[in-house]
Amino acid sequence: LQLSKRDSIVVSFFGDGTANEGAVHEAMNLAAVWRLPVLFLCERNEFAELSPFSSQFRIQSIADRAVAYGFRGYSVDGSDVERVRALIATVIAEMRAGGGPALIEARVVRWRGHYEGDQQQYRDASAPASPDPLTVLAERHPSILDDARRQSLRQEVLTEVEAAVEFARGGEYPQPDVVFGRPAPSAIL
Amino acid sequence: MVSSTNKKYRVAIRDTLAEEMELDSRVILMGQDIGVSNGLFRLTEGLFERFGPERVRDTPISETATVGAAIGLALVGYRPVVEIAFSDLMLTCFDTIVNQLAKLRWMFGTQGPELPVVIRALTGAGLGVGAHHSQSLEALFGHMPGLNVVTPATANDAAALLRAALRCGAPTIFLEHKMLLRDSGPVRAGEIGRFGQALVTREGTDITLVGYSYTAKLVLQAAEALSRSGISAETVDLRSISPLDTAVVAASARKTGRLLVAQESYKPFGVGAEILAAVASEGIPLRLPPRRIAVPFMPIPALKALERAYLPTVESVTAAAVQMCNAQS
Repeated sequence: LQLSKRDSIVVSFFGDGTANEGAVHEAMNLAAVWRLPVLFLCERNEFAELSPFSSQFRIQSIADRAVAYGFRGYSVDGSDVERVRALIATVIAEMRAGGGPALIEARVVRWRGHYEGDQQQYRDASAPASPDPLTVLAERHPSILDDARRQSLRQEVLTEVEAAVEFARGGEYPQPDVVFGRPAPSAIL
Repeated sequence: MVSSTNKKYRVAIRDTLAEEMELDSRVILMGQDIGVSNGLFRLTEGLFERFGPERVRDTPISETATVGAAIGLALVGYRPVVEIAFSDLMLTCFDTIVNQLAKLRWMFGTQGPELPVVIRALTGAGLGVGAHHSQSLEALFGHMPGLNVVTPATANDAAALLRAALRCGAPTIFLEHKMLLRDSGPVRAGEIGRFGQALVTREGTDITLVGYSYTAKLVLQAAEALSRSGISAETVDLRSISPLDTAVVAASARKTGRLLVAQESYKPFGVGAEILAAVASEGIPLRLPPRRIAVPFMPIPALKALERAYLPTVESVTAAAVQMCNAQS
């Protein structure tokens, strides 16, 4: 994007666990050095696979790390759509003006385990997960989205998802020779 | 008479870790979610409670730093064991393993320090967990000098070879197959295995079937199926691929005149290629060209139906063996 002089930006999403991989640190420093239009967006959900945030970090906010690379870091309530939107709009405007990369930590609390069947014995069962951002938004603006409209929207989405599941269930498995018979991409001349 | 107990492969590994930690306070475990959560595959179950957070250490998702810390610990006299829940993730710390761990003793002279680092990692496919959690990467590590690469197929070998890994003083990659974790077998108490010692797991006269890790089990099952068709297959479990015992394979191939290697990894530059090269360069006369069963040269699909078709099976090994035994020689 920088080479092609376009004003688009890149958003890279990751979570608590990934934040501690070496590749993330290298990428953040490189993006800073080259002043790349990359928004590092960490969905901080309080768990890295099967471990709570407090066992993985000695900082309060992942956004604090931005300063070490020479760009700005922000922390925001990830369940608040309006705040997230306002913050991202500001940050993207700065980036488009040549401000270089930025890091946003969007704070939420994970809804489910790391995988289906995760017993989550590492988790305090009494601590609540974060609310549904859409519900929060709807309740704040009943004049825009009243109960009836919410119900009908919910039904519309449910129908669409169920249709997709039906479609997938009704489909045939791919034939092994169709998949395995293809040459590797590197072998296509 | 050595006492033996029937155990699952998973439990044999856990118990050996516990026994060695009991005997030697320098043994330290490190890895992601190995503490309170007992490890993603429960391979460290109960060890955190028993040995505490100093010796059973949860790490952040930082494989490079963890292996680096293990090297440091080993240099000052500890005997660290790193768990990496999916061997695929060892590629994030491949540099630390290959450029540091494997080379250190040469870099600091052949008289350099012991480097007792064991990296335990789960290998192999079968759970439908896709291209980043199912690979068999043993050949990558087997290609590099300075590392033992161990691939146990039974509960007893898992225990005996892990004990050997912990005591040998040299960097060891210990690959535990996900589809073997629940297999049970007699485990001989206190046995210390030897690397580079393949085992004939079944004697036969018509064809030699070679496997390691999960395919060692597969070729044994194939031999059973073949016996019902009147074919007498001899099976060999390599048990470690570095060092690699080609002598046992060569002797068996010389006896049967037919050689088939089954592996769960890619053909090019793989374990089968190495075995075939060894047999060829020793001039072992075979009744027909040797063959390999491997996986398609593409990433493994996550869909279970495709995964089954991708992997070697008892049927595919048996069919290849029948074909080889029926071929005009």
